[in-house]
Amino acid sequence: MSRKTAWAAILDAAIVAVLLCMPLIVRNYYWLGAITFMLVNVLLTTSFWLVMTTGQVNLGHGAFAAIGAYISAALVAVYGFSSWLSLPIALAVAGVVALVIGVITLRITGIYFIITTIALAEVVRIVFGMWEHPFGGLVGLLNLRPPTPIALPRLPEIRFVSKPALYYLVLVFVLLGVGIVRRLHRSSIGLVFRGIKESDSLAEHVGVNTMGYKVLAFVVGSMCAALGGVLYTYMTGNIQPTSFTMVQANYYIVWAAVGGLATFGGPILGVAALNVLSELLRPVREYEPIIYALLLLVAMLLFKGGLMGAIRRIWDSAGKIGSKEEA
Amino acid sequence: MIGEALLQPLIAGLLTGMTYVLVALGLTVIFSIMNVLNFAHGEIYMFGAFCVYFLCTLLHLNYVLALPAAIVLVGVFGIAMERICFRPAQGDMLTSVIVSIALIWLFQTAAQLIFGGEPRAMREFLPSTVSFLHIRISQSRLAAGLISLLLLVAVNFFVYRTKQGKAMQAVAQDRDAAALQGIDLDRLGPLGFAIGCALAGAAGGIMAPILYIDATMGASVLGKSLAIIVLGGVGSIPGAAVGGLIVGVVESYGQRFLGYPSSTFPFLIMIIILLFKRTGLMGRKA
Amino acid sequence: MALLELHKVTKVFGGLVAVRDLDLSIEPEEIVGLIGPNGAGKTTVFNAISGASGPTSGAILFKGEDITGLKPHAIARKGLARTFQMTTIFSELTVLQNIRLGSHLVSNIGFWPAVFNTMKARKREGELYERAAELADFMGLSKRRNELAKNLSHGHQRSLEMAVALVANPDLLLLDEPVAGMSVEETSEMMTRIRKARERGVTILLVEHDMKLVMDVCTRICVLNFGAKLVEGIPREVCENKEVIAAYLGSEYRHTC
Repeated sequence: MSRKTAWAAILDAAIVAVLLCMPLIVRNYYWLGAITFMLVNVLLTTSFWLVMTTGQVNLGHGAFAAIGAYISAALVAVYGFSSWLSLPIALAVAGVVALVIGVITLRITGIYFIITTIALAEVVRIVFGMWEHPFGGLVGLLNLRPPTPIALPRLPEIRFVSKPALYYLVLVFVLLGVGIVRRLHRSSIGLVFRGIKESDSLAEHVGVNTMGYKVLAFVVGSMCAALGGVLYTYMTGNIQPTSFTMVQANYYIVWAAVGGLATFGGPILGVAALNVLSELLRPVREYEPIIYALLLLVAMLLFKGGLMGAIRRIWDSAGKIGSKEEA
Repeated sequence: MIGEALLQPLIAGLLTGMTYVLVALGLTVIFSIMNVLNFAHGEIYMFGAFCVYFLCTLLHLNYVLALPAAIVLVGVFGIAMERICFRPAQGDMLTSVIVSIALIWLFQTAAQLIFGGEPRAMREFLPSTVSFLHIRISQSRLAAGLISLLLLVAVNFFVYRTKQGKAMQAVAQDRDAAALQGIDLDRLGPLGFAIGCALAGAAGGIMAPILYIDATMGASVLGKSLAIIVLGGVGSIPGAAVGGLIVGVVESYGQRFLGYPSSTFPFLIMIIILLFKRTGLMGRKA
Repeated sequence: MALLELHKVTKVFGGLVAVRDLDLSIEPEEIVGLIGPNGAGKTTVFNAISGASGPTSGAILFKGEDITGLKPHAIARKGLARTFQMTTIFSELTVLQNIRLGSHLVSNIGFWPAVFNTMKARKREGELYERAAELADFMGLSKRRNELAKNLSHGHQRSLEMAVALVANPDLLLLDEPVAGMSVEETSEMMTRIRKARERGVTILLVEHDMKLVMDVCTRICVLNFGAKLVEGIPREVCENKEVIAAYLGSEYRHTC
């Protein structure tokens, strides 16, 4: 194993270790809750980014979070399903919807695809607001119970009411989703995704079924979004038509862009940095969107490559000092 | 009586549609010249409405003066926006998308902070209603429709008859060729934004006496404008006109007979058009 | 059996007939040149063959199979590769990654093994990258294996394009203006590579304006004018043909036929 991959593995292990110990490190339940939210945002943003690596910007990403949230919440609250059954069903529904929509709309490219996704997000929002039963109409579903406790033989049942319990639940699923995204991105499949983004035409001509790959990224990304939506309902206890509008999806693109779109770690960095900033700005909450906006304008117009790009540049130039020049 | 039930939404829809045409036209002008889709366009519409509101209520300006003043203000604002925010993006699609999203936040929040959360209402410009053929139309709405039509004709004249307008057409068709012909792209950017934003602001100002004004009024207008430019074809003035009227009428009938679910219609139309004829009813190349 | 056959291929764009009733036949191991004035329809023919923009009417047969109207990736799967008039590469990827992507059709790694990066998949990836390195060396890019494609000089980018097209061992390679914008030296190198590729069993159909290259390298030449075939034959015949001289080469053209 080369030195680079050894360091990377150590970093991975360290991060996972910290994440596992988090409830021990952070005793304050408010902050633990904020961190849990951040984890859900990481999942949503990373899955959004996965679709972007094929060159498609899905501003309707939030709609799939909504689908996941609504289906699982409705199944539990209205039809009495167990959370552990409604979760996979919600993901499956989101997957099927993503497949159908993907096959139909991924033929469209560029700015027109972006507009299409905006339109779809709005349609989803309106549709969920249309039915009192089972989706709660314009008000949505409120007072959702925490996930169904798991009964274990001869052990006390696992309940998910306390903040640490919720944290671990969310952590498991976020690691799963983010892990899937990372695996795909690092594999040769991920290279094909990037090739499609660089030149759809050339990719086609070397034999890549670009439609198939774009749909794959779209379905995986959307199912991860649905998972994020379900986790969101566990945390907040409600879901409304306005919970995941296009405005929310705008946050994903912002976090990803500020963090840096070129690498897997960029969006995660962006989520972390901006969510922390958001907490710091809580006293001036009304001004938060303005500060965000100004930050964003500065980031987009002045710093190419986002935070990750800046870190890379600093890293590279620090490395150059004291090393021999290459011929 | 049946005729009235059927015709009322038609007339109302046509009149509202006229204002949608203005907003959509502004959006398409900017898009065809700069290749930038300004998502904050709805906020410009709101800005126009607020301008007229304040000029009329605070400065007690007559509406007839306030409207043109607001249009000019918004136009100048558009130039500043182009200079500061969009020119540095250099036409990169992703960057301009993110920039315009940032602008939505900026403008909406600023509006909320400055103007407060309560929707405001202006006194109507022409308070009485008019009726013919058993249809009641408020004079305000009629005036709104007529002013919109006037502006549409003016823009049409500008684009097709003046030198600057023709330069804009050239850039819309082929940027590089236009540059090679000596057209100064750096001048046209601000001009395009000025006209585009002025149109949106005009629409806002025209609707100000008729609708409630609040910080979020831009959002729904954006969606409809997108639907219109897709339907009519990007870069096409007649397309925007036809598209706007269709969307206005469809919305009107939809609200009358179907209620809430009809708000999906502009988006469904948009999706269907994008799937089958991406260039819209009258557009040229995509 | 002819490798590639075009039967009465016609392509109409709106009101313009870009290609008219073209019949063309290419045998294995030929190097056929497709020449003609600008606007003669040469790239349109390429687009029709590769599936980028199928013909309005007519048929195209590749290895005996009808490929008319198929999508590019399906046609590529049958053993056809091409380069483009405007340099087309994967800009943000390295030279090796570019060529690795070119070998997509011969990667022989299943979907799930690729996702989970199994031992077998990793081994195969190693082989594919070795092959990519070989091809990079063949095209003169050995010192630039890990450079981003967008940072290469124009000539190197063109070479990379050809490497990407060659790595999957196509039976037929369409080259669209392979030496456009290249220096005399680079052109000469490219000519050598084209001949070497043919030695490896690749049949070549190329579009070029550089007459020296065309006359030296091609075994047969087909001349297009206004979308229709003007003349076809061995280089000597073509360059002595009066109509071709009038339409394209210019009466001042002298080539040691």
